Formats: sequence, structure tokens, C-alpha cells
Amino acid sequence: MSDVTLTLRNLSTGFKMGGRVMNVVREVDLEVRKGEMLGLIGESGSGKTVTGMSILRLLPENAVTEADTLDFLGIDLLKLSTEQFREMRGTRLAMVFQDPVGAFNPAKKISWHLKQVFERAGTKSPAHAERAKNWRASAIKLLADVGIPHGANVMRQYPHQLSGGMLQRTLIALVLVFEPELIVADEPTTNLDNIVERQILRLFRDLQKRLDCAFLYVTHDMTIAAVLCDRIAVMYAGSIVEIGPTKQIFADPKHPYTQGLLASALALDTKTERLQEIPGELPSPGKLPPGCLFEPRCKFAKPECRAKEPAMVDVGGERHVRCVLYGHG
Amino acid sequence: MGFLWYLTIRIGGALATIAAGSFLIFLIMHLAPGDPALAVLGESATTETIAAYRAEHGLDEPVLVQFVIWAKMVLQGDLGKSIALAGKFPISDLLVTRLPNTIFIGLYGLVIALVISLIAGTAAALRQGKLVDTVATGVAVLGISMPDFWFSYVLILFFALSLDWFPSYGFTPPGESLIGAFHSGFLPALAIAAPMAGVFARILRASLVETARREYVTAARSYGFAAPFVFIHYVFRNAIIPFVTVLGLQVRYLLGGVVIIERVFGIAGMGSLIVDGAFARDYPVVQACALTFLAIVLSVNLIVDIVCALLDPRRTR
Ligand SMILES: Nc1ncnc2c1ncn2[C@@H]1O[C@H](COP(=O)(O)OP(=O)(O)OP(=O)(O)O)[C@@H](O)[C@H]1O
Ligand code: SF4
Ligand SMILES: [Mg+2]
Repeated sequence: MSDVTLTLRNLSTGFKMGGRVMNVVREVDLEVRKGEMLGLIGESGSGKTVTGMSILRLLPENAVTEADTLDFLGIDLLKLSTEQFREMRGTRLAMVFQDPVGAFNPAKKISWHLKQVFERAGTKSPAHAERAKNWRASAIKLLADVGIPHGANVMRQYPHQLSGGMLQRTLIALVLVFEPELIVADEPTTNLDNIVERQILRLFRDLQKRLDCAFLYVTHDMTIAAVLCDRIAVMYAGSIVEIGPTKQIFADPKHPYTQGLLASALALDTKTERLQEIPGELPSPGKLPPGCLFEPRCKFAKPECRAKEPAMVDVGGERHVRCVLYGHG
Repeated sequence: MGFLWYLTIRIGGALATIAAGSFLIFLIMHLAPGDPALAVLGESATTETIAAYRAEHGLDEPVLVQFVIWAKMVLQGDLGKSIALAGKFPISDLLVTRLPNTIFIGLYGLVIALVISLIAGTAAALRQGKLVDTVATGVAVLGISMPDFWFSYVLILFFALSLDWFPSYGFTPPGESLIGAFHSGFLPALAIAAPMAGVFARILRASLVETARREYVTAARSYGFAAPFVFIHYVFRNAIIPFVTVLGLQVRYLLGGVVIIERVFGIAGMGSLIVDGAFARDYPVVQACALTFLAIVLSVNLIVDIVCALLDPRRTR
């Protein structure tokens, strides 16, 4: 399909621990399409950040990433050298981080950050070179685009002098200098308070309409995914357990884990007395259960669930589920 | 808080510390057992000569009065006269010949330590867990755990006595010959530098490794910045702040090291002056030296604080 921006096939990432590799992301298949926002959902520690960082090759040296396919607009990302990959970063593949305060160089002013990115952009094309020459004006315009009207003031500040919301907008502006074709946003509103979070979410929705790029939006919050994402991929213990269009998943969640996530999100929404948490905990990467990874916490578990890990099953309507309740694939 | 405001507070604090510190020094010297008159005049002194000596040097006044007299003199730039050393030199003359030697050796050692630690610490951090790292860390531990005087003797044995590259004893003051000072001061400076270089290199390595894990470094890589750019402007630039802080704390040990090294290498500096003065109960000399050391430590701390404030906008802005 020509409208697919990113294709992952069988992506696994682990960390070297005392001689062996401990996988925390396993056999992930995903497609992110042009103009869509794909939500990657799962509880803390399920491997969402590692997945995003694997795509951009941002993990530390002790990480090992393997995949059958890592295709970005016809470019085989697996074949790129370190230097070739670096050229792609920022320009065509970008990332927005969870903690905006921690994502800025604390020793440098905001203007310094913008200047560096504009200057790097300037070497790429004549149009960019023009913007880089007038980087100050271009930066102010870009800041206005992400909802910072007084950009000149903001540029004079050091990161610690700005609020989290302001920094997150600035971080988004930095990413937008190049108009990348894929943006991975890693829980970009988790560290913000409610009102600011809503403003940033609105900004993301506007961006998605305006830019027509592919978004991989990582979050643990079902309600955010509901308002932002076209499709949702649910991740559990490093595996995708369900994927499909947002509306259908909300109307009829198939995987017991997705059902649990939705129930607890709804419980929060309607302020039900007791919070409907899913009982139990994520298995640790070193001690995965033999069959279905969710089996220890699943209320529908049957003996056959422990035999082997269920395969992804196509349940129609662009939906896929990894659970024996829906067949064996 | 503006930077100037910060500066004013820090300088005011340093001056107050000098005032309090000099009183403390004065008090300790006067409460210490032993009569300076007896120490100077010897056992054969008569009661009359002792009384005359005490009157001449104001030793009969109450301590507080003596302090006020001394403080007034010091403020006018007069550190008094030595009471024991032959010729009764004005102490300021002694300082003028001694202080440059100590400052020269101290700075020389500091620069050597900085150069070694910047190279070794950075190399170790960049090649974490590799051979360079292991070697650098091992040598650093060695440098830290060697006693100053022992390492001095090793240096003398090897570079002075066996190879005859440097003199084993004595020091040409920088005022006489700058080249001579660099040459004759090399071994003492190296002896002072060794333990400092070890500490500095380890601090720098740890700080670099810690900073490299920060999210802003990942963010910088995500913009596609080249690795050397990220290292210099993100990792090194931020890792240097704790490094400079620790460096400032080390300067007081540097002075302690100077005292020992001046003895070993026979350098006419502040260290040997304060030791000689203490043995001779020449308390004006000891007071003047202690005051000078205090002023040096405080100035260095002040400079370090200012450098840190300039490096780290979070401290003052
Ligand atoms: N550098 C690393 N070295 C070793 N293990 C790591 C490293 N980074 C992450 N992990 C492990 O990988 C697993 C997945 O972590 P990841 O950060 O991807 O989770 P997440 O889904 O993003 O969670 P959160 O919602 O808390 O951000 C965790 O068990 C984590 O401990
Ligand atoms: S495979 Fe079995 S244990 Fe796993 S989610 Fe489905 S029903 Fe539950
Ligand atoms: Mg995460």
C-alpha cells in the first residue's frame, strides 16, 4: 500500500544483561499510515517507549534490536549506516519526549536550541537555508504556530524558567522545523497538569490535520487515545495483543486485557466508587509465563492458554487479536 | 536573583569569613602554650630582658586589644615584624618573596592535574568499560592512594637522581627566571598534581557518564545532531558543572600538599614559612601565613562559585 509510512515486521528489542539478551519488546508487527495517528497503548513497563526508541535507533548501546522489516517510505531502515540514520533523524523521523523539562539542555537558552535545529536544517535545501538565515524570525513564526504568541520573550529564557506546557510546545516546535514524515510522541502530556494537557492534546489534533504526516502516539491513557487516535495498538508485556480502529475497539473490545483497560478508564470517567483495576502485575521480562502472557491475570483463562503463545487472529474489519477466544490464526 | 546580587552576597560572605577567621587564628595563637619571649630569647634571658621584649612587642596588653591593634595594622597593609627570625624582617617582605613561589607551585600543580584529568576522565567516559577506562581508573586510584611525600621521593629517585632531567632539591623563583621556575618546579608540581588528577579524573568520568544518560542527550540525538556536537554541547557542557564544584573543594587539600612538598623539595614558600614560624613561636609570622592561606582558599572558592554560576544558569537566573 502506498499510503503506509512505516512498516514494522517482527521487531524485537532487548537489553544485554550479564551476557544474555533480555527481550522487552517481542515480535511486533505494526503499520503507521500517512495522515493517521496510531495509538500505542499499554500500562507502565509494557515496552512502549522501547518500541518508539527502537524505531529511531535512540536506545543505549546495551540494546539489541532485530526485525525482519523496518521500512520507512520505501527506505530499508535496517540497512542504513549510523551516519545515514542520523541524517534521517530530525529531518524525516522525529520524537517528542515525555518529560519536556528534561528534554532541554539546561545550560542553554531556548533560542540556542531553535538556532541549532534551524542551522542543521539550513544545510538541507535552499528553502531551509533561507529560513536558517532568518532563523530568529522563522522561530518566532513557528512558536506562534504551536500556540506561543510571544515567542521572542520565550526565546530569551532558560528552560528552567518556563512551564512544562510552554516547554512541550517548544519541543513540538523544534520537531516541526523539518516537517518530518513520521513523529513518535511518547506520552507527551503525562507530566502536565489537566488544563495544559488538554491544550497540548488539541495542538496535536490540529497538527495532525495540518501536517498530514504519520503519528505514533504512545500513551497509557485510553481516554487520550479515544480523542486523538484513528487506530489503536494495545501492547502487553512487549507484545501487541490487539490492534484495530479506535471506534470499533471502544465499542467492542475483544482482548480481555483491552476490556480491562477500557473498564478502568470508564470507571475513572464516571467516578465509580471502586476503581476497576486489572488485578495482578505485568510479568517481568525475565520470567514470562509459558503461553499467553496475560494468562495469570485473565479471568477467561483456560488450560489451552498456557500451551503456547496465541497467534494474531484476523477478526475482520481491520481488527486483529492475540487470544484463543477468537481462534488460533 | 540577578547575577550581580549573587556576586555581592558571595563577596560579602567571604569578607565576613576572613574577619571571623582571622580573629580565630589570633585567639588560637595567643592561647597556645609557650611564651614567645622565652622561645626567642632562650633560657639565659633575665627577667628584665623578657619584660623589655614583652613591652616592645605589646605582649602585655589584653588579647582583644592586641587583636584590634593587629587588625588595624593589617588593614593598613602592615603585617608587623617577625619576632624570632634574625634581622626581624617586616613580614610583608617575607611574604613578597615566599608567596609567589607557593602560588606558582600550586597553580602549576593544578594545571597539570587539570590537563591530565580532562584527558583521562574524558577518554575513560568515552570508552566506558574498555581498556582505556580500566587503565585510567586504575592509575587514578593509584594517584589518590599514594602519600605525597612517598611519591615525591619516587619522582626524585627516577627523574632527578637516575635520569638527571630535573633538580632534586631547590627551586628557582619565577621572578628570577620563569623557565628556571618551570623546570625546577616540575617535580614538586607533579607530586602535588598526582592525587588531585586522580580525584578530578574520577569525578569527571562519573559526571560524564551520568550526564550522557540524561533525556536531553537522547533528545539532542533525536534532532539528528552529530555525535561530537552532542558530546561537547550537551554532555561535556553539563558534566563540567559538578566537576568545577569538586575542584574548588580540593584546593584546600592542595594547600596542605604544598606544605609537605615544599619541605621535601626545599622550596622557600609559604608552607615552609608557616612551619618554621610555628617552631619558633613567631606568632606574627604564623598569623600572617594563616591569614594568607585563608584568603587564598576563600578567593579560590569565590572564583569557583562564580564560574559555576556562570556555567549553570539555574543557580542565579
Ligand atoms: N536502558 C534499559 N536497560 C535495561 N532495561 C530497560 C532499559 N530501558 C527500558 N528497559 C526495560 O524495558 C521495559 C519496557 O520499558 P519501557 O520504558 O518501554 O516501558 P513503557 O511502556 O514506556 O512504560 P512507561 O509507561 O512507564 O513509560 C521495562 O521493563 C524496562 O525496565
Ligand atoms: S489467550 Fe487465554 S489467557 Fe490469554 S487473553 Fe485469551 S483467554 Fe485470556
Ligand atoms: Mg515510556
